[in-house]
Amino acid sequence: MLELFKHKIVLIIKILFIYIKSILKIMYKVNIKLTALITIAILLYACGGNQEEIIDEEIVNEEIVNEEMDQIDYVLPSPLQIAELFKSAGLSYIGDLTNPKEKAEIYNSKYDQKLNFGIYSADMAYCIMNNQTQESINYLSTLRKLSEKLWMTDILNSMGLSERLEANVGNEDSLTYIMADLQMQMDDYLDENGMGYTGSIIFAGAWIETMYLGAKVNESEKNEKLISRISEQAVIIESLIGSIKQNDEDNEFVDLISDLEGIKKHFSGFSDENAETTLSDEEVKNLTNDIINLRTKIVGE
Amino acid sequence: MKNKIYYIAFFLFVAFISTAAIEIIEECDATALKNELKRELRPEYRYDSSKSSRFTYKETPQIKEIEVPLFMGERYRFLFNTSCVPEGIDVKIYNKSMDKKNRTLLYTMESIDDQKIYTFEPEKSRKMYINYIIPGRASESEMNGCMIFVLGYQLAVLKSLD
Repeated sequence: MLELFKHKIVLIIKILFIYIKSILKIMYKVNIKLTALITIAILLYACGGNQEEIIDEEIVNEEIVNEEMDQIDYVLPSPLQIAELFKSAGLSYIGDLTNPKEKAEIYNSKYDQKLNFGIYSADMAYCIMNNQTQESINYLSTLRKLSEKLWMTDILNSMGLSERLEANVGNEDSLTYIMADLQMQMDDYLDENGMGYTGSIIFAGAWIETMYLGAKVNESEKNEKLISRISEQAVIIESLIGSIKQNDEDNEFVDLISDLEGIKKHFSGFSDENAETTLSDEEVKNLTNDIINLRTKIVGE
Repeated sequence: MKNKIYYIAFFLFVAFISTAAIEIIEECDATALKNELKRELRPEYRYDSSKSSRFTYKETPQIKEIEVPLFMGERYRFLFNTSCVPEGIDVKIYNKSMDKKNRTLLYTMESIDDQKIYTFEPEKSRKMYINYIIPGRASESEMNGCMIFVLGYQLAVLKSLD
């Protein structure tokens, strides 16, 4: 990078010297005053042309500075990691728990589409974790439809995901790497396009769905390890709410924030100093009910 | 007249070089820089998340904080790419946010000449706070930079299978 920078500077200096030299030659040979006027006029015009750009940059930079002074940034984990944690704790596969693909058609607002993009991402991760390759491909197709509505088509199309999924049928490890690739591409895309807020909403959907899957599987068959993993999600909920609040200048997500605050109350016994607590049976039951209600609100009846 | 032309040419030359230099420094290809970091995750760690932080140097120092929630019992690798940081910034990681008292410093990036990628692997996983301390810079010209952060995780269960 430094080498490239030095090379560019040397190149610019060389070009400028040649340019100035040739201008001076013309000045002596032809008409000094006229040439000087034309040169200055051209350079002033060029500088004037840049002024608009400079003003634009200043406005953008002011925004950046304000953000830096007032806000904390949040890094949220990948939904795949949470799915893997749950899977390693014994999250078994129950076929009809995931959100039906056909429902994707009914999500018309951008808000619903983003949240349900997260829901379907978590469902796809759940299927991949459990070697349900055909279901994973079907969910990928649903994600592609939603991404088109959200103008994020490029991410899914550019990776040849369907082909890669089909080529790795039955190979859980390869499938999880493909899912991790998708996460990386999506993070890069959202970052490049200044759409970090979309990432928070998508993550909210994915997190709620993973919690729902964990809670429902635990409900069907009590699993202490799974309860422990569900309990430690306390570390995420605060950052998730913070991240959404940070991007909610238009009060678009007030309802979602309020619902998540309701979920957060179930983790009130957790703190930085007391992070290894596990929820009691009663607390798990109450949390499960609230998660089911919130999930139903998002995916529809 | 000849001298005046030389002065004008010299002034324009300096202005042009300064502008070109600023524009070059402003370039921050976050995706490419992240890719450099992602390579440093393999083979033991898997990509978890990332954050590119863009900033403008001001006369007074600034602090930019990133909250990173980590799951207990999991192993993590923090990676930083300083390729687009024109003037050294301090990177520190704490156990508490900057508005809390009695926080513990867990990591300080020790800058090394020509090194652009830095790694931190915490002993114990819990919520952490990355602080970028951007130094003050008294100058007429504007200077921007960007710091790239990538987080990787190693599932305990995957580790036990190795």
